[in-house]
Amino acid sequence: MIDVREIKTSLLTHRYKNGYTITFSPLTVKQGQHCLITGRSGSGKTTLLHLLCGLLRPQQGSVHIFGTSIYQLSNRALDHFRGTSIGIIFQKPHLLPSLTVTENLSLAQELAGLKKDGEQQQYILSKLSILEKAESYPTQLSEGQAQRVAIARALINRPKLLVADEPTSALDDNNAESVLNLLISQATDSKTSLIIATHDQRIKNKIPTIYNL
Amino acid sequence: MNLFYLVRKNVRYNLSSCILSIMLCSFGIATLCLIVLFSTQLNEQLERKSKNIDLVVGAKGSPLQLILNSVYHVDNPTGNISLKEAHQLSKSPFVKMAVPLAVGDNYKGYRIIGTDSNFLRLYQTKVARGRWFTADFEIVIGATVAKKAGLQIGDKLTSAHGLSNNEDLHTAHPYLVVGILKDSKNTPDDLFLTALSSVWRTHDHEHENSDGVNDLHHLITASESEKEITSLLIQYKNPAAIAVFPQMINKETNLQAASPAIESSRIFSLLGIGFDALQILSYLLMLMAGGGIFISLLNNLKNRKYELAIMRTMGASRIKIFMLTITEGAYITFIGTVMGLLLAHIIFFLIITYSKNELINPFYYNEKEALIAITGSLIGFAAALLPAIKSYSTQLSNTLAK
Repeated sequence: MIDVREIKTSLLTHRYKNGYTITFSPLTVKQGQHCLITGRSGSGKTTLLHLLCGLLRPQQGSVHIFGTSIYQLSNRALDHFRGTSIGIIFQKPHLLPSLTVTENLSLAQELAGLKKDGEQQQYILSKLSILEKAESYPTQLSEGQAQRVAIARALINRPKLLVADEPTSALDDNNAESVLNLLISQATDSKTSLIIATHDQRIKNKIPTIYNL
Repeated sequence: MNLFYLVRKNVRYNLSSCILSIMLCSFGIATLCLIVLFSTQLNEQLERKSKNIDLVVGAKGSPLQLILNSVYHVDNPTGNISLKEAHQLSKSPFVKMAVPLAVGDNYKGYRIIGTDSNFLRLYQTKVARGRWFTADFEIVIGATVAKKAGLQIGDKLTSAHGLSNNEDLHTAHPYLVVGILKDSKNTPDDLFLTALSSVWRTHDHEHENSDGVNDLHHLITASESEKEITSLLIQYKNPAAIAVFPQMINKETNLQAASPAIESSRIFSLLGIGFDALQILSYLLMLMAGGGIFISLLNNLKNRKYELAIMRTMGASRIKIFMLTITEGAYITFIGTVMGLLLAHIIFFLIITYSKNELINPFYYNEKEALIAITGSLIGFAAALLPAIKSYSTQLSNTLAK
């Protein structure tokens, strides 16, 4: 049964280029629920996240995100769906260095096919307390600030699903703590489902649902 | 925020690596543009100045020299021919119009030409102010020289012997300016026109004072027995004359007939070798610019792989990423092209300012420039193609997993 209020995968298989095949047991995350994917490095955390976000087509199995079977979409439609419904945060912020913080946010809005929304940008930036950096370029930001901008970028289109791949591993304890708190509070506020892949012990006691590989 | 804005911001961010490509491209374009501008203007000038002249008859010697002297007014005369012989030729049934020229004096470097009123008909111009000369030592001046030498109707001027120097002045016979020609953008603009007899009398007088010593520089001499001119400009009555008339002159008389069309194409083909060499150089420069863009885009791609992948995750399609790289290549060459075209015109302007050459106009625009601009941008397009394909086909998941 497909439920429009949950993210649900069937048994997913992916074959790596070297021929090694990995299988992931089914996963269900309810709307607004937070889930942690853990496992030692090389266990396929990132692969699973990519399968969930529509970045990697599985050899077998399907991914339903709030009722949409994403691998039945055309490439173009999948790009659009990802842009509007899924926010992704990576280990490093990877902001576009040639654009200011606001421009980076505008880019995220426009690439998703939405209108640039200045108010939403201000709102998100102030919630993440980096509003004073709005017109700065990424090179002028600290690691923690840049990662917060990356979170803002992932949240700007009010996605229903927020996916983070090792969001804290490049940060020191203080920054990791605050970034993680921000992620959780933002997700809770907007009733967004949150999936974090990590091997960072600092996260494990904050999120109860754990999917172990 | 459109594609173009992203590209502009990105080029500005990576300016140091783009600047070499931009410079190479602009130098290539500038060289190409200079060649095009210079050769087309030169060609046009050569053609316009010889437009109505089918044949030039003068003394034996180099045909090129004869044409350069009598049509383009740059070289020395080949010698003199007798007026009587010239008269006989002009009565030939092949000849529609014959204009005698007596060259030999100058005023501040501008040539004084002894001729008759057919000169105006040949060049299809007329006197704009004042009147045509009717008596000896009256002179009609071209529009350009009137402006440059600051001469007005009623002014008196003293000619100098020879074609360029200012030393040997004919102080005994000053000329009176009686008319100024219409601005014809052609040969007459840079000339002083007077009666043949004025030229003869100027030099007759000198002979009386020169104690019989023969002056080697005398280009025009008028002995009592026979009056001489430098050359005769001829317009044919019908095209059939081309086959017969020049041969007849070259064989049956001791005169020389030269065709401006043949000689100007010779001038042009002589210069053509230089143009060809410069053209190859400009293509090389542009090729290097293309290579530079290719390498810098490929390098940038390595650094930006992750950025591009993240743009994909934010909803950008593959084709958009492809276009982003292509546009960047085209944009860099576009800047180079615009700078190159500007540079070419500035160089042109400087050349003209320093050489005081009125032959070429720096603000002249040629439609080939648009073609050059398109070619330039195409080079950027071609150079960006491979990096763009590479960015298009990058595996999203593989890139992001690294």
